[in-house]
Amino acid sequence: MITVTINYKGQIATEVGEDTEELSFQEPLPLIELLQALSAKATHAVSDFIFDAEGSPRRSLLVAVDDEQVIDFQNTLIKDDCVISLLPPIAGG
Amino acid sequence: MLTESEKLTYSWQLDVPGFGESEQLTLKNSTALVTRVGGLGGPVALSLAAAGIGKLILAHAGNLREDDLNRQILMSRDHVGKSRVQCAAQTLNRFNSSIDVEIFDENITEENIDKIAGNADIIFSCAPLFEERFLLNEAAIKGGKMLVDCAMYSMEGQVMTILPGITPCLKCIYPDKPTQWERKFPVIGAVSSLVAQIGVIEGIKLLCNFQKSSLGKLIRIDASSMEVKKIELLPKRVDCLACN
Ligand SMILES: [Zn+2]
Repeated sequence: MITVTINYKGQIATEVGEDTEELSFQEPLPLIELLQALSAKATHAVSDFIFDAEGSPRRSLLVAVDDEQVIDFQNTLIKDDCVISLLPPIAGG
Repeated sequence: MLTESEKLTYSWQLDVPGFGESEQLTLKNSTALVTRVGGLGGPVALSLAAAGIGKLILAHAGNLREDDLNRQILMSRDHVGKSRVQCAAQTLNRFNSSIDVEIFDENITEENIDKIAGNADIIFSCAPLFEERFLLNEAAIKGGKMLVDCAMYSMEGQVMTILPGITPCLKCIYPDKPTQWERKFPVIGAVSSLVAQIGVIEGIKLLCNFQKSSLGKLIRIDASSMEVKKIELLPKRVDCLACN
């Protein structure tokens, strides 16, 4: 069993109504599967920030694992205690 | 050379270790473009003026509205209905009469960007629309100019310093146009100002080659938890349309 922390930022945090959440999984898993699991249980608005209409991860969403940007969602393995930050684009001036 | 008056004006910052007369002279000989001059760009321009930047170029279209006043600190209530950028220039000139301020009552577009950004050494991008931010990103890369992209949303903010050819750019982290960003966003003026000050500090470090800039990192500011974190960014994308 692994437990990871999800940090929601920007408009995603507004949609979720929380800025952090802990999730548990049976075993380490690729980041893409974690995002799919997250999306499946989230509202449409939250899911829409993560995946586009074709089900591909949105390239305008910045994802960081343990404060390092990740773009290879297939080959990034999420292990126990990982912190995954979802940072949608912000442009407020 | 710094004049005797300038040495006196900036004497307290000339005491900062690593920041001496040559760094002050670099600031004096530098031109910064700040777009726009709202909740973020206004305090950016003010702190650059206080630090002794030689010239400010300000771009922001339109007249001040009453609902701008919670954050647009270069303007005051008697400015409502007047050109934002003219009011900003008045405030800045009163604050530091030795700096040059050039104003454009326009927002950045494809048509005017060369005219507005052409003479800047450094760009502070503080616009509320990605269209403008991407144009500034491209202009910085094309012109080999330093870029400090400052953005906020509600109780959060972020600052990214971009050195063309060296660091990833805005398009490297957002390769596709963000379609979900909305022009109207929640904002407390103090949070905008906080993000602005971090942007100015990074800009001064870059311009003056002073101390250590956060190149290749995204500085994230969370005013709820009062945490400042740095996200380690990947190198430039090989398929970035702006970098290549
Ligand atoms: Zn790029």
